[in-house]
Amino acid sequence: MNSSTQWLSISGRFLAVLMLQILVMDRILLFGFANPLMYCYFILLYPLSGNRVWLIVSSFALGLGVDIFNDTGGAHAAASVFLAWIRPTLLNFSFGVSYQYNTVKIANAPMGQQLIFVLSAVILHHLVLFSLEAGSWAYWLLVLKSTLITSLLSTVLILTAFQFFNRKNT
Amino acid sequence: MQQIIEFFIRNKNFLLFLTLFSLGYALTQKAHSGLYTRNIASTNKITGSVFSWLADKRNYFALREQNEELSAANAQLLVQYYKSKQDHQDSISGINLELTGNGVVIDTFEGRSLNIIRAHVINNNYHRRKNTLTIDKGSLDGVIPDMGVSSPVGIVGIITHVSEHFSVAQSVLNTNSRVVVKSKNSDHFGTLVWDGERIDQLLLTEIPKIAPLSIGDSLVTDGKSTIFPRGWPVGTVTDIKPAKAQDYLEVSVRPYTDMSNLYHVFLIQRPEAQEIQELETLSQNEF
Repeated sequence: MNSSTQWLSISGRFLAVLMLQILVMDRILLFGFANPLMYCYFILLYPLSGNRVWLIVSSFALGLGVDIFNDTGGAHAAASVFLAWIRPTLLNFSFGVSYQYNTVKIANAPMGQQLIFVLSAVILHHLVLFSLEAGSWAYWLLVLKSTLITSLLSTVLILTAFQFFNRKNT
Repeated sequence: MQQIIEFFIRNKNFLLFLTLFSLGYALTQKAHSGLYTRNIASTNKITGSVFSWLADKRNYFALREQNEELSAANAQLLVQYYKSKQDHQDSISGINLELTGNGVVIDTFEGRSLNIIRAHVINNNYHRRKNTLTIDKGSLDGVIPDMGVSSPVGIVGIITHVSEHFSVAQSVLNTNSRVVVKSKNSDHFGTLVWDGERIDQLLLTEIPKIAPLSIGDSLVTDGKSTIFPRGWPVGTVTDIKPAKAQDYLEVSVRPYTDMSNLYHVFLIQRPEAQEIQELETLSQNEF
């Protein structure tokens, strides 16, 4: 894959994920408060060899896009930037140092490693997001509850998406 | 100098993260304080048009339900109309409905009027602590801040921000929301708030213990707040508990409106609201 097609596929995925989040996922509300956040998919699946500065900037733009349509100010943007920044640490933690040599493809890694990676990333992202969104410590129990349930939901969706698009590529 | 530059290059990712995170945090705080910038809110032109397109499409699937709700509201209005005709035989010139461009003006028999604008909710959120509604009418249609928003069955929120074609309302499902309500049977009043927990449960606080309330009672707006007229429907009492503060009750209220299923709404304005507010500030300045 040369760099211009990679650039094209990244921006295509950016738009697809943003549209999916705004038009479909934001209309879903399970158990009265769990709203699946699937756009983390973009941040998690950003090419491992890609430019980190661009990852952080595009994550901010993605989060801000979701914010604008949800009237949440900058909570999604801040949480996404946080996830983009902490991603290498999580990759290291889930797949070991070998990911740095480009030998790992996230969607082909063992299921256990994928689960750890996605779940830890999603929980951190949602925790930052819901804390910012609540805006006060008074709602900490509610924040924890939403984080937990929404994280499970988002993780299942993202892992499913990994499998779905992986099969098509190989 | 070189060391400083090297430091920046080595930590560019962290510094970039820190800058953008702080920016996001600042925007969030701004949204919390209620001082929206016009660009980061759904009164914005782009998001507004996306939402109206979406509401258009979605509306096809909800037509049957919405129609039923509307016809029920119509029936209720008719009943009230004839009832009031009977009650006030001598002032029969009475209620007079006048159709204007996008709404009606109701002249009440006391010579005061009520402006009502018909509108639609194009973005409704109810899974946050500070929920808002985006509405497809703006200043060009006569919408101004502090108008009341009501569904065909009960109150929904209060307009806070207005642009030319759209407006944003603070939902009753917002931890900042305060509405003065009273029981239909008595004039004891309290403040209706939301604790951020469930979308079908509001809390009536600051209502004195001696108020004759029982489960199943209807609550209506009080008319003291100048936003909603007196007697506008709110919800029913589902539970009554003594509050932590002595001599007060804490009452759970189920709103008449299903806040997760909103499309047709009315924006209500009391033309005399401004006059009342001016008079009240005047009297406060004197004492």
